[in-house]
Amino acid sequence: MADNADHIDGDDNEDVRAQQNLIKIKLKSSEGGIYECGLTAAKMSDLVKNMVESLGTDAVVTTEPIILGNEAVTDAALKKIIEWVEFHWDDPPVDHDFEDEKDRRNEELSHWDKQFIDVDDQALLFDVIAAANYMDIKGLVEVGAKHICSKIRGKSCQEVREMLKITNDFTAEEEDAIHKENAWIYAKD
Amino acid sequence: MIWEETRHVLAVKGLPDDWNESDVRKSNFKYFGNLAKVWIKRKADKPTVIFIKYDTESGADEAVVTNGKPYLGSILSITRAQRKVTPKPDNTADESDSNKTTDYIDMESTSVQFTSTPLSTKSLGIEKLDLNGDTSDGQQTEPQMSDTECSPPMITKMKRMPSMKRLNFIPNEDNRCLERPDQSMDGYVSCVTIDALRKASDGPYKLLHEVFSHLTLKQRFGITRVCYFWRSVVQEMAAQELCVTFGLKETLSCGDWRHNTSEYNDLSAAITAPDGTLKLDNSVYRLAPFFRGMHSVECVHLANCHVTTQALKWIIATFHNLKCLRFDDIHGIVRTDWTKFVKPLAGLTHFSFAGNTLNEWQSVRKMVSSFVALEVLIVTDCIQDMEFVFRDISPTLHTLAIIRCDRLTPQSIRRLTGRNGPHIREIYVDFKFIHDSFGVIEAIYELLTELESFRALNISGQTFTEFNHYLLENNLSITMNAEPIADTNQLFALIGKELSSVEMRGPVFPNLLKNLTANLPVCQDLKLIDCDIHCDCGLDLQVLAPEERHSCQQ
Repeated sequence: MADNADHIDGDDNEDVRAQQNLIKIKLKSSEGGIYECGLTAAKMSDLVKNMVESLGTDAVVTTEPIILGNEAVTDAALKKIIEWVEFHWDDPPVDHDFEDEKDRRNEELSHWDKQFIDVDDQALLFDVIAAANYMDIKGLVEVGAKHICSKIRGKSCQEVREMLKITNDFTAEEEDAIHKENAWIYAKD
Repeated sequence: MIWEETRHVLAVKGLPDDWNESDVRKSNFKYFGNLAKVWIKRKADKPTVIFIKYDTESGADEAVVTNGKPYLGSILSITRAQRKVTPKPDNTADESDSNKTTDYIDMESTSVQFTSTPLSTKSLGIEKLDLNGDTSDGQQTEPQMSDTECSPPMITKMKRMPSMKRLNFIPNEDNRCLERPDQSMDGYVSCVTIDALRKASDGPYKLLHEVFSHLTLKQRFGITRVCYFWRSVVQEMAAQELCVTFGLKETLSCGDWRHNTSEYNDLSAAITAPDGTLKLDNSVYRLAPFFRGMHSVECVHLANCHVTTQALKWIIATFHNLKCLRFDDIHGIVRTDWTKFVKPLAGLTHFSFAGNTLNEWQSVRKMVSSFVALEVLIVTDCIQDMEFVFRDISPTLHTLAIIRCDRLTPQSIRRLTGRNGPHIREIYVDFKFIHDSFGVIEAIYELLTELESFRALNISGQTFTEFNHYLLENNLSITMNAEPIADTNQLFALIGKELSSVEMRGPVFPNLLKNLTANLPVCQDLKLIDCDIHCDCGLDLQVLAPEERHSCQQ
């Protein structure tokens, strides 16, 4: 199985990737919950991919779960992340060519991603983003970043603080100074 | 005795244990500012701490943001060193304290007991300070610094230092008190109370960068007032901006010619009126602190706006590292005295102007000839005679792009030659609106003897519509015209003798094929793609590569 996995790794063939995704591996959250995920989907996380590769084939087929120790990887966050990678594992690879990258960054989130990331529980949202960051799932981090951006956009400083629960640590004088420095920006505040 | 955070001095952990002072001085830390002093504290049971003192606050400010980033295989921990200062004379401490020297410690390895002094934590804006590490040996006193470091004016100044530790304890949604923020970050970190971002393995910095990269520059600056930490991220990102755009940006094309740029650099709304006029009145000077943070800017793009000489002068003076200037359909600088810009724009290597930027040839000529170090010139939709544009152009020019300029003629190409003329190695021409296409092509090949690459597009009236010719490799790829035109082999007769590889795309008509063998005497690799030819056309199949020959014969 190991040889098979190694061979598949370098193969872009979609059928092979689909076949590989039938292999289920176990991921363990920092809270102890164990969740199954397709191998190809799980490998969207560079962290998991490296771990699978370094653990070798036996580890892949055994029932030993891969432990994700970062405290952001809660049960709820890991479930969301698995939901995301299981949906996106067959996406075409991202081309980091400059022009494409520019277009991609400007792209709106897909309807599915919008619904996925638009969670009521803000703590869960941040956990998902932080866990995706820890697991090195670039696509999901970007989805989260875009979502936060869309929330920040157009808001006043106070609204941003309220939304992200940030305490204003400027003194009144400092804030006045910043306001004067960049009056054009704060015209709508 | 009281410990205070310093501005100039950093405590660095994570550098190789065997480093000495000169290693530190040669390391990347020198790029943030002048290192006034470096000293190393080694202890057997603790990691080595290297103290670096910068001679300016800004140097330390820049260095401290690299905290948590990998360097030479390990993660750097950079914090502002804590300084032991003597209390004011009216304090209860004994008199000898006033003569004590200032000591520095690494804040993460030492805990500090705050005493009741006039400089209480509250007076410094600190609600609560909780430091890592053991509490037993807070008396580390190396190295010794001068008394002047802890003079009262310095302490007063500390009150408004942005790096001041302000640890905010605010309830989150569950009304539970958040813990002390991640101290792996620098002094600004204390402001970050976003629970999840705090948990991220390599700190919130990376995530915030990701978030901010989706905001425009103006939007980023719009949230600088949220807290110190966010401000520092925003300012750091501003310092990385390479390109700034002014104007209405309707035809923004910056980045399309080998110039990587950000889409998020739009300052257009900041100072551009709806009618396209840059509002460089007194209000703009208030933007100076904002722009000063953008010290990496190399490209300024002015699009669809009216630019006065004064405005241009201000922009050039502000972004003094300018290497690329782009004018997209701008107006208002016709009467500019370009001789005054020779010195400030001496570093300019890329210049592009599009549209009716300057409406008289003298202005165009003076402008272009004033850029003494120009290497790349891009002219688009210019109505002026190119002969005047090319006159007195800098000899440093090596790349030229002429796009849809109907007054590009063989005579104007001649202007690019001569003893003090440029050495054009790369040329790109969009022949749309150019009548004598082949005359220009001929002139380019005959006159520009150092040419290495020639790309031509939108050619009309010929058997071909576009081609790419890499002269160094004797390689040509050419797209044939769908319409049969009687006279065929002009181009191959002109350049075919040297070609070793030709790729032809589109219909190839028999009269062209008949002469191909004669015109391509050394061609080793001829590829015909989508050509729809028949082998009875007289083509000598020996010139074809084996696979093409095979497919052709079939």
